[in-house]
Amino acid sequence: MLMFWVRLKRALFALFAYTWLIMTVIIALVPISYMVSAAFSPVRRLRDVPVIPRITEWSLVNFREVFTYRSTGGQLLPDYVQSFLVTGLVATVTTILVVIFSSLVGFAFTRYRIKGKKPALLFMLGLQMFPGFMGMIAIFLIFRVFGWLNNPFMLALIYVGGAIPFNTFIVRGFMRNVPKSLDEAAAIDGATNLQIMRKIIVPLAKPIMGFIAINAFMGPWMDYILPSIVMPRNETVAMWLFRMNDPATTPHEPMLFMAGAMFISVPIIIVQIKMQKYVTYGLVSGGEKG
Amino acid sequence: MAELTFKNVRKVFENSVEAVNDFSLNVEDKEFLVIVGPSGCGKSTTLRMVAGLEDITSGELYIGDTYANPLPAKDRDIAMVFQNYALYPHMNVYENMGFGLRLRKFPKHEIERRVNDAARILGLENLLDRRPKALSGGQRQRVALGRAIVRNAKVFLMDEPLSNLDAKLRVQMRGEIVKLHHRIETTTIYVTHDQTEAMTMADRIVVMRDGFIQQVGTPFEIFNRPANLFVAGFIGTPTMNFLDGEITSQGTFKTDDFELVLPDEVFGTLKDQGYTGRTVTLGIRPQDVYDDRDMFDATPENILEYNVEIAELMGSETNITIDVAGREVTARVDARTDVGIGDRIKFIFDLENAHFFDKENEQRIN
Repeated sequence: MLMFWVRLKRALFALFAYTWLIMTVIIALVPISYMVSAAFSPVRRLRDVPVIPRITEWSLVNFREVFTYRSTGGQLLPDYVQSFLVTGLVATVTTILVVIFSSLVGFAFTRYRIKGKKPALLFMLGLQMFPGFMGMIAIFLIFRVFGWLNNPFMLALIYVGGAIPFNTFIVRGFMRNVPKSLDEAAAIDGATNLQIMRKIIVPLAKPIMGFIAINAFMGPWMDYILPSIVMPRNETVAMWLFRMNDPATTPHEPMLFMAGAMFISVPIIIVQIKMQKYVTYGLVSGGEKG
Repeated sequence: MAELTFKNVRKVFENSVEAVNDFSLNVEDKEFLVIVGPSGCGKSTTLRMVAGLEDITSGELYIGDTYANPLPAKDRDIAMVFQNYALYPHMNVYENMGFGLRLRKFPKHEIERRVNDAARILGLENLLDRRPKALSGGQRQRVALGRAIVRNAKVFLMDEPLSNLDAKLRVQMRGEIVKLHHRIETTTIYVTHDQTEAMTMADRIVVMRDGFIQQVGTPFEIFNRPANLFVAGFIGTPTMNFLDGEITSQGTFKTDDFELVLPDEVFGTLKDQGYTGRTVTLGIRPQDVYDDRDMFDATPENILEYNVEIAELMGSETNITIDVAGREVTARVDARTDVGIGDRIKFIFDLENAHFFDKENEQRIN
């Protein structure tokens, strides 16, 4: 009899847990499913789009239009492709620079005796307290004076500058756990400081660098406010999306918005999958006595 | 291979802790030198100065004929085995052992030959493509040794390499390291806090305490003629017994509770040094405390009789702690001796083998 109640209790709990999980999944999936459905749908009005994609009635007409759509004449590339490339450039440059600089600075902070190391770290941490918006006007003015407006590399530089302190902190925290005796062993084996970093520390810090890379890529890819200020004539994908969804500036094109939005998520998914394999922990074990 | 010379080497850390003081020593080519001492005595710091991992505050260090003070670790051509192995976790055994050779741009076939040779010597042939994580403690230790021997370095440094292994493996690896040294004959400095390791492995032992060298000598010399009270107490298990007493002009060693007649030769030395009438410390090793009749007959006047406090059967012998009027004296006697706690026991010191130390400066007298 007792067994019966225990089993019932367990069954009820499982029922509850699974219901909860399934509901969460549905809530998360419905908008995505709706977006995919709309992107591949031949219909012209958003309200005619089914929530679950109909495999029998799909078309690439929206994508064709997105890729060829241009708002003004005389451009080399259609708007969407252009903004895609610009954003890709900004995000890639940002990612590469952030990973290189954060790991170098993080390495220096864990391995060298530097005068004023603690204040510098505190300062960097303190900088994180201020929201990036605060500098927006200053950044705009500086960019205008130096003629950097609409320059994707300069935009990337802003992102890099913003990302270094925090990511340095993360890298430092990780590298600190890589035992110092590994450096010493490598030094005795004949490695220079740069070789120690490249051949020992960085390979061991791959998980954290993958994490940083994903974050560094996602930021610029999805940011709207900063590019909208310093890149008024050089759209990023977020700006493009905004425009597509803004009846005041463009003819309202919800179907193109959906197709564009879907395609924008592709690079992020690729980056996530690529970096996923590095974001595995436990690599730093085994070299030393546990 | 090379000899190693320390001239008044001194190390003061930034927090002004003096780790090593006035360290002068000549390590001969092919020698196996063991530096032993309690933790914090500066032995590891000394080793790390040789490795180039710590700066030398003052004094000179020569590796071979080269003045080594300013050389960075990578240019010293030494190999080191760390206490915690310090294997590169992301490389397999082969890569771990070949890393130093690869950095020095050795040709591929040469690296392969050397790593395979080392792997054969150390019995690691079947583990070459494993990561350190998949190895046992003993195997990791072997890889660390292998990483050192493939380099064919001038000097080997070992920083308590066995202290992370369990007791049985430690004894086994001890033997293997000695065998290895006989085979490759590289000058080796081995640091340990374990005096058994020091005694069993060393050609010469350096005993250190608080940054100063206490004594340098062969294991035989260190054990049989310790230079001062510290060395006498540090080397040997069970520890040497120490008793304070006065050397009388009649040739006896007199405490408040008993008086022992000294052998003529021993008394002669003490008298010549001017210790008659002064208090000295008598040191006697537990194996020089006897409880058998043969010894009693020779000097019946020196027989003592006290209560047994602890009796520990070790297997091949029994360690008895005797309460000698409030002082503890340990005797190492035959395992067949049947004594229990509280029993009265008759025993005698073999004063021919006793050590006498100055009470004030703790230096050896005889």
